[in-house]
Amino acid sequence: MSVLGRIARCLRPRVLGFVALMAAAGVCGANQGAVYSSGNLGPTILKAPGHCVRPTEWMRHNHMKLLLEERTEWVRQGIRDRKDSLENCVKCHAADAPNGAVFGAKQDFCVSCHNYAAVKITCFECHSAKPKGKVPAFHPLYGPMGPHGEGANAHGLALMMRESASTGRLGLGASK
Amino acid sequence: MSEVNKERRQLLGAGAAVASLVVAPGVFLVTAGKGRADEEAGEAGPQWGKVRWGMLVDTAKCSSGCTQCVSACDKENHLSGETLPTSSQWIRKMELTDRETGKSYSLPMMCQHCDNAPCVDVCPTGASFKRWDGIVSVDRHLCIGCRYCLMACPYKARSFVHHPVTDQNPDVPRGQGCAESCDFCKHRIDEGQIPACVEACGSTGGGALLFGDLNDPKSEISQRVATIATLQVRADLGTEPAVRYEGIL
Amino acid sequence: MSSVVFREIESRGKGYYGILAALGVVILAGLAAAYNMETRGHIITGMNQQIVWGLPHVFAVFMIVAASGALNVASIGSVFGKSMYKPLAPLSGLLAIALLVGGLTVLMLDLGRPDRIVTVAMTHFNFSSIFALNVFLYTGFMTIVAIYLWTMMERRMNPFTKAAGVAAFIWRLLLTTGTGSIFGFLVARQLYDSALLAPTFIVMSFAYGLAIFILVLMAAYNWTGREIGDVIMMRLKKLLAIFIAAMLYFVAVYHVTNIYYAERRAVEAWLLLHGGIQTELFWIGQILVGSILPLVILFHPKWGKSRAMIASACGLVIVGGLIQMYVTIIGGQAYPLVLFPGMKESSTFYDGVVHPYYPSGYELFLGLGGVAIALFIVAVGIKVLRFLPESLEDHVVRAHHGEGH
Ligand code: SF4
Ligand code: SF4
Repeated sequence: MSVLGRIARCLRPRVLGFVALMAAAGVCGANQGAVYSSGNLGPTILKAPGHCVRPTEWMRHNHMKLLLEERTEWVRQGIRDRKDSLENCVKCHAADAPNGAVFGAKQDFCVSCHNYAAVKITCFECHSAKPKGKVPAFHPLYGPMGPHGEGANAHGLALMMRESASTGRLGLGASK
Repeated sequence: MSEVNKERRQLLGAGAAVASLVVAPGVFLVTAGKGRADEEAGEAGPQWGKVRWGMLVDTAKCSSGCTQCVSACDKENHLSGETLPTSSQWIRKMELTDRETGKSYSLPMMCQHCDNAPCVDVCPTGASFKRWDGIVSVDRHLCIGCRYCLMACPYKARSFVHHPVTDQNPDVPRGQGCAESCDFCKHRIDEGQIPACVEACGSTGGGALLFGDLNDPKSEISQRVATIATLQVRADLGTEPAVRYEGIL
Repeated sequence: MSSVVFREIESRGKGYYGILAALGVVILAGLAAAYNMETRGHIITGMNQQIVWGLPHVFAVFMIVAASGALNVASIGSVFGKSMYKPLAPLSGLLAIALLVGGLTVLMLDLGRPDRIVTVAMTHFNFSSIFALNVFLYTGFMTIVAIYLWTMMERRMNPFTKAAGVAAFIWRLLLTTGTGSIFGFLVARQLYDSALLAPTFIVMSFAYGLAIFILVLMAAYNWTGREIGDVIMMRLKKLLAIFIAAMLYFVAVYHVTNIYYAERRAVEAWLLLHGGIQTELFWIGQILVGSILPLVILFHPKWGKSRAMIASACGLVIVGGLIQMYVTIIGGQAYPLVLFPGMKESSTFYDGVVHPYYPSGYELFLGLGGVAIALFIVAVGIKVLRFLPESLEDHVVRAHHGEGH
């Protein structure tokens, strides 16, 4: 399978065991509610349906810049058509969380990494950590293409995300 | 907005989007009044002064028992609806009685979205700001909770969030320690809707509220304020409110 | 300055450290109050949507105003060439910095989001705001006074003392104007909207600052067994009396002009005649305790010579000053805004009614904590650096005074 080949090429040996383990557990095929853990080293990261507005690796380092830029437009100019808004982040990343939020419980999307990196999040002192209304079936940016169709690429990105999860170095200079 | 414009806007990036001027690393001069960023952003961004949202309150249609606008606001913005001395109230019903004649009036009072807004002038960080379309609100990311704007607002329109807030409307983030006030439901306006209070007043209230663009000569509100006598509250202060009242002169 | 010897105070063992410890406890109580206010929110204080600035602002503004006044003694010495005051200049500078630090700490910790002091308040400025300007006025003041102190205490820098003193004097006038304008620019509040507020604040700062200065001076000399001669004491006393009289005059002019505005008669009648607690505080606290009594004491032929009585006069000025701030800040907010002149107003948001205020212990301790911080800085300062002349006995001062001519 070409996707697996891609994984094999881009993953370093020490990660392979982990990927194999997940494959064996059939996690790769599951789309909903999957929890990827790097064991006791790194944070537990909840997977979101669809895929992100930017490559995972980029997001890991820059999501705060994106949010800062977006929030300024949102608040000060009323530009609300950006896909990379906090509201949209929450929509996807809270979708499969047991409590339906990105912040609140230990395993929630934002909390797991921020706890790991010991960086305080203040967003949700004011912002709702839960999505408004119904969760979209597809990520608003990517529409109905999803991981299937043109999704080979998307799938690759998702796997990159898992790789970083397994290296257990999130936000703080994750492995190249 | 076209894809090209969107791309351009993103290229302009945070530098132009942030309504501020970098004078030294990490130090911003916030242009609280006119939107410098909007001018810089040119056609890609919203146009300063193209729109000026305003409201006309017909006090004759507003009855003293009716609080539909207030409940609609509380619901839309997830306010508690309590009226403790510490509760936030973005809109309130005021009952007035003329001291000499005894005539009484009932009307809603909320942020008047002043053109020369004292809250914007006094805010040390630029958190209080006027948007390109005349809407005055608080950028809660920049608010340090000094409460100077509460002191400065002539209409007592500002509230300070005293109580802990949970379960916010995702469209209306709000939290303890910052100032807040009516923002004409800008999250609804940006989606092409009218403020929640205006909608409620029209459906279940007395239909006393008229909302529209004061800068568009063809809008209903512009035509009304051009033909009938209206009052800006405390016009003597020169704040130039965007909210006007009729039937109370 | 050959005849005046400056010295750090010798530690007097238990007494000195006891004072430091006591101040430390009050500071800790203040910080604990601030911590509670930050984590639980302002809901635990007595402040609300009507009284938005409470007791912390009373203390903070009082200290900031007093800070610029405390510098006066130094200014009189080096700016106006009254050499008799020169030996007191270093203490005056130290006191100014200490009071400002104390006041600003309170102001900062009373913010709704004190966590944003560095991330937002120090990086985003809106220069149409007096508050933002004040950030620069305050930091500038500390810098200039620090330089001024340095020119006084470092012999080689002495030639620059006068220039630094002039700069500090001009800056302190700006600073108090800025502080007064915080209120003066609030056009909507009838008791604040007055150009007289800024000069009134300057005169008030003269009186408060000097009263605090005299008290600290007496305390420091008493506790360390040094002497203050009658010459210097009588000079300071007379100066204080003049400042109090000037303050009284400004307050009178302020209220009389207000009464001439028909629209302000109601609020003046409220404050001066039937404002309940505010009226009592105004007449008994601000006028009687803070101004009349000290004047009587200072001009009294016998009391005016007693050190204890002079000290109590200073104490009265300080207490009266705090009350005056209370009346200015809280009273100004307690009276409802007038949205529709000529109408009786009422609403769920407390329009048209006088707003009560019941300060909480948190606010009180935060304010007292700021005072303790200021005193702590002074106590440590005079211990480790040579702020105090070894003696201010008459012969020393006279010799110095003579030399100055
Ligand atoms: S009514 Fe008050 S809060 Fe609204 S713009 Fe005017 S001054 Fe600001
Ligand atoms: S409370 Fe917030 S919005 Fe109001 S003046 Fe202070 S910083 Fe500005």
